[in-house]
Amino acid sequence: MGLESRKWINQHLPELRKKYPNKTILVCEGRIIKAVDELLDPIQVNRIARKLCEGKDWSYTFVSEQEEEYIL
Amino acid sequence: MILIDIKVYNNIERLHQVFEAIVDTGTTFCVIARHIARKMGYLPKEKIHLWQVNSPLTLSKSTMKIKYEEREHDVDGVIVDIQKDYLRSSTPKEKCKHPVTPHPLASRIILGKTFLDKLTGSERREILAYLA
Repeated sequence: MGLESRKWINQHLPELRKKYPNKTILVCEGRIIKAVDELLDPIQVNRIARKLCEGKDWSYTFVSEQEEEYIL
Repeated sequence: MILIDIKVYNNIERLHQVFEAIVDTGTTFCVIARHIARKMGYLPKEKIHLWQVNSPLTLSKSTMKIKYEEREHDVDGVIVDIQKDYLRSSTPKEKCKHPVTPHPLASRIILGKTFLDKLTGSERREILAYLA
């Protein structure tokens, strides 16, 4: 599981919101290896990650522009 | 907001899958959206009646298999229906009033107290340290 990739996402979220708004990003070993222009569910993300990041540290997120405004 | 990665067992594909999860210390149950629960083979069990600020909420319970680090836990969860329109971003010309971005549970689950209570003290501290 992607402890380092998750940390990377959490640290870089403010910049990611500007560069990848409303995209699903897949992060593998500290870099973005895929950005998809739509929201994917976790099962879809896992299928992609199995092909691209097998055995590596990876994580994902949907980079929402405005989410915090209504979740908190 | 604390975002962590956990693994959830997929009863259909028979493997653990990585999920982004929102840790919510104010939520009793773990929460999964119905469209994801269905793909994971989590069937709704008995109904549970919860009270919110404005209105009652009736959801279905389910037991989720959630793995944090190397330990797997059977965790009480609830399955929530999210309207289809809320699972996507709104389009520029759309007149409906839902938020521009998709619902947070469209691609994640919520981890509530039923999950946090299964962890050791050090595991809980590790997760809550993200808040600091």
